Amino acid sequence: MLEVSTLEILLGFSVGLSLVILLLIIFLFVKSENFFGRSEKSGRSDRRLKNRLAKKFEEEAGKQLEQAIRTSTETLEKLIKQNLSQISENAYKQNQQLAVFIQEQERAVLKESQYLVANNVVKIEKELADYKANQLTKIEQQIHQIVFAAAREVLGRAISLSEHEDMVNKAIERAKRDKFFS
Amino acid sequence: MTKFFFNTSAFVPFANHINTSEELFRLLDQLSTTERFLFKNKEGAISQKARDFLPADLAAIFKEIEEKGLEPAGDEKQQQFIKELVKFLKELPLVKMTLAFESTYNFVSQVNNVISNEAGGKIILDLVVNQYIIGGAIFEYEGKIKEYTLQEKLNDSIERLIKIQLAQPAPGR
Repeated sequence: MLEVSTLEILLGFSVGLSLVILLLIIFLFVKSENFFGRSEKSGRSDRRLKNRLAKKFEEEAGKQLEQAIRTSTETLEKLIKQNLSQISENAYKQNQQLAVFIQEQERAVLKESQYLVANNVVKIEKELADYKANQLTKIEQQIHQIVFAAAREVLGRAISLSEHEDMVNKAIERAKRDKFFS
Repeated sequence: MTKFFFNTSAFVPFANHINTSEELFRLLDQLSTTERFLFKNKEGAISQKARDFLPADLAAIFKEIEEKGLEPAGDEKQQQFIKELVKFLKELPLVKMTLAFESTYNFVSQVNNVISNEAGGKIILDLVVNQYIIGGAIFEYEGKIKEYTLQEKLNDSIERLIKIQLAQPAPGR
């Protein structure tokens, strides 16, 4: 925006300068007309000279105007080129910055996503392991309960007093071997 | 180890007379009653003084130590004797034994003898009945505990079987 404004100012300045030069030439031409008008009385030979001079002035003014317009055009073109180049360069820089920013953002988002996913995976794995251990413990307890209940039902009724005593004697023998009472 | 004024061999027949904590508490109760009858200013041995209140088995033990000349004479000494006897009995080591059944007197007596021999002195059995142990016994002695039961064997077998099952891959995997 800033570059465009400068360009407009420069363009305006060039056009203004050209107009000033043109006005100056017209002014000089009018002055010369007046000058030669006053000396008309001095003779026809002067008129011829006047015409030649006027023609010369016109030619000279045309050249000057053409030169001024050419200079202004060149300056203007040069300035436009410079400005366009700067605008292009700025646009390129901004584009690059934007690309870098986008890449950084992408990396940050990716990193955060990976972290969140990893966290979730670890959490889910732990929950699964806990659940598995919990379920296994429950199953183990249930199996124990079932087996003990069955054993009590079957063995509890079948074991006679003498068999009970025999098992206790064997237990004492084992305890003795283990030096439990020593 | 507590030092006793009287010869502890006089206390041994009392200790041998009991096998379980229940019997010990009953004996201590009887001795406490006996002690109260030593204030009657009567002459003679303890068994005579407390004749009307002593159970036959306890009277026989008192008679036995009298005959051996181990019982002191006089109310005060006899009283002290009983106090020391109570102390001696209370200091007997306790073996807690959990069984799956109500055992007979003879069996308990036999078990007490075996464990007393192993422990190197008279012990008292604290019996607990717990049918859940299925068979065998659990012993607790001097802060240690040891299980020799069918439940323990079953437990080991179950755990072994579960481990074997868990080690195998699940079907369809």
